Amino acid sequence: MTRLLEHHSLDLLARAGVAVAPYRAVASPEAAAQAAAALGGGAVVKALVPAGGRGKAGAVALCQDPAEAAEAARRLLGTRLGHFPVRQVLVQAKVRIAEEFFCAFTFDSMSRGPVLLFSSRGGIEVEDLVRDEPEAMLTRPLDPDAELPAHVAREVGHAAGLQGETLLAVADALCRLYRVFRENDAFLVEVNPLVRDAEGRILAPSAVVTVDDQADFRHPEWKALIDPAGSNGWRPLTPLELRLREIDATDDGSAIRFNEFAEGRIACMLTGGGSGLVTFDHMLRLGQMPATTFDITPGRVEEKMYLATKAILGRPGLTGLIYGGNISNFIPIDVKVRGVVRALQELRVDARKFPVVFRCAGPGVEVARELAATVAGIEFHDERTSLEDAVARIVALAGGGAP
Amino acid sequence: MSILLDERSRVLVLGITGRQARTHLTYMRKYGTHVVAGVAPGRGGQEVEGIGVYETVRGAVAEHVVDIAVLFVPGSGARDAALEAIDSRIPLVVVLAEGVPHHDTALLLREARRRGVRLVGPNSQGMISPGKAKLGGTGGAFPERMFLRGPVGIVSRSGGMGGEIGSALTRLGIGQSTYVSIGGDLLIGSAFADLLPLYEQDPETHCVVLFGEPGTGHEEQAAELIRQKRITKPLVAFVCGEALEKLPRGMSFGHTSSIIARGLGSPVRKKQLLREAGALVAERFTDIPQLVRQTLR
Repeated sequence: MTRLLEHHSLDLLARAGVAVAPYRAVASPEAAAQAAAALGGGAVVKALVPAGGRGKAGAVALCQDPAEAAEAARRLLGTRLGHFPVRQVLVQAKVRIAEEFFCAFTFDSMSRGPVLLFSSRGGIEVEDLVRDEPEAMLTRPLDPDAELPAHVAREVGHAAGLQGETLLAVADALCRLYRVFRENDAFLVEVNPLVRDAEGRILAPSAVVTVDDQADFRHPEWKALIDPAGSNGWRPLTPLELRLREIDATDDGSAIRFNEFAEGRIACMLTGGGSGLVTFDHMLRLGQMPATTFDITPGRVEEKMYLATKAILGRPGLTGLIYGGNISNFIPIDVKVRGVVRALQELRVDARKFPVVFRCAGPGVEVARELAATVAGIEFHDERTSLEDAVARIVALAGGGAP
Repeated sequence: MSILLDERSRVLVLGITGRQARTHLTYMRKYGTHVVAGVAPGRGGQEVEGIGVYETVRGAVAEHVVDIAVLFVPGSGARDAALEAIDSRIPLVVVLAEGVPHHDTALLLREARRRGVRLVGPNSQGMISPGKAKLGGTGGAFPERMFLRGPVGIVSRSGGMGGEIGSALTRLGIGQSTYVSIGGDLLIGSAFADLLPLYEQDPETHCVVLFGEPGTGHEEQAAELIRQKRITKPLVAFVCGEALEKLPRGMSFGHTSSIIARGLGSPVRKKQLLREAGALVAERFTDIPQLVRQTLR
């Protein structure tokens, strides 16, 4: 899932005919002043980063005139918000709020399809609302194959206490927002607050649009919107994460998923989504944080494993490596092991000094065992050792007490 | 007995001419899976291993009775292929593809429900009724290495870890009735609550092992079935992912998915509900075989 930057999200809304507060993305205080002047003087200046919580972080400024807008831009540009560097700010027309609503379109695992979430209590943190007043949030499962019928939008709005012109205008906005959700393969379209302004117009001062990366094969236009080095969901990529993306891009015959954690010391290359979680859990239980998580889908993997192992072991401060994963059903495991072992040999890893544990099971295990034996000191486990017990071994060898 | 699949189940293979499909077709048939026909648009009239290839599902079902369609089709083509199988009302459709867009999955799950078709997946690694038949990649070329016929049902969100459970039980001589890999996506066709009642009805199954993951309310729903005594056979449950609760939020769940969850989705909470309902909850994966053995005494 990739969260679009706010001006890209607002572009999608505006294109679907949802009224938005006029906005401009700028990268300098001077441009911010010009933008504010063009919007009539006063403006809201917001840090443009793919993350929420900007209000609480002091990254939204209400400005009375272009000079104040320039000052706010000067204060925000070049700083970091959460983990993200602020390279641009959004300068937006002020909205005189009369009433605030919450609305979102996303998928629900239990109704197994799209849902509309709506509340007349907009503007506040949604988590707080759901915790304190769950009955104030209305949920309506939707047809994945059709537009949102206007009468359904009116029913939801009416159930939330809306009526008259406001009900009709909100219902119209909801239908347009569902179009944004469907036409852009979105995973989430959220407008909080959706606003009725002092003139009675319904408009979106801000919006969150998250797109489903699994649909990128039919959205060439996303290339211009999504910075491939931008984010792993909660912070920008680290240099090592960027390097792993580069390695992944060398061959589309398989796909790597990689994360690193600053506080960990044991490199984990345990593939498989489920086995990755089981071993992560167990490592935390034993008082250690992994330095990395790593997964690779089947395909042409040997060269990628070689490059990935070399890159990961280049990280300073590592005390050990665990490699392997759950028992393979049909994919020969020795191909991957060949790449890993080649990297270990080239890096002259002595596993008697830098502990290395392999946990390999499935077709090719005997070849894998022989390959591992070419590096002195690798502790090799097959399916007779559980994944958790293999994690316990690397923690015993490389944990060195509490982290 | 077993659930969903046995040696008599008549199987149609979609995307049969692909490289992966050919490999697994060989393994499936060697193990006893009764494959009656294949479909590959643009390649009708060919044969793969003596199995006739049809242009369309409709063409195949006009000449063969089909109980199960298994799709060897990539994520980008899964919607079309699954809709075709659903349209012909094949009772069970198994979608192996990973990376199916959410909007596509939502659509084909809705169509399956409308037509009374049971859908397993997407992102399923298939299933196996040991000693009888298997679908998809499960068990590979030598399923007997990991799976043995016996009294334990396995239903897992993770294909890899479902195989680990089978392998661990088999090494102890504890066999399985049917293992189903239900897939780890947010949207899936068959969740625990859809399959547990089948195990409950199956005379060969004495105990079920459930492997759960963070997010969704599927484990909570399984706990509710036990609480209501609609599931009375022993259930051994393992839910991974407590670690995610300690990581930054954006990494695991998005904003609104946590809202919909209404307090659902946390592994700690899932385990608590399962335990309160009477399931045997394994805190460590390694404990699963021992708990299973207890239930079989």
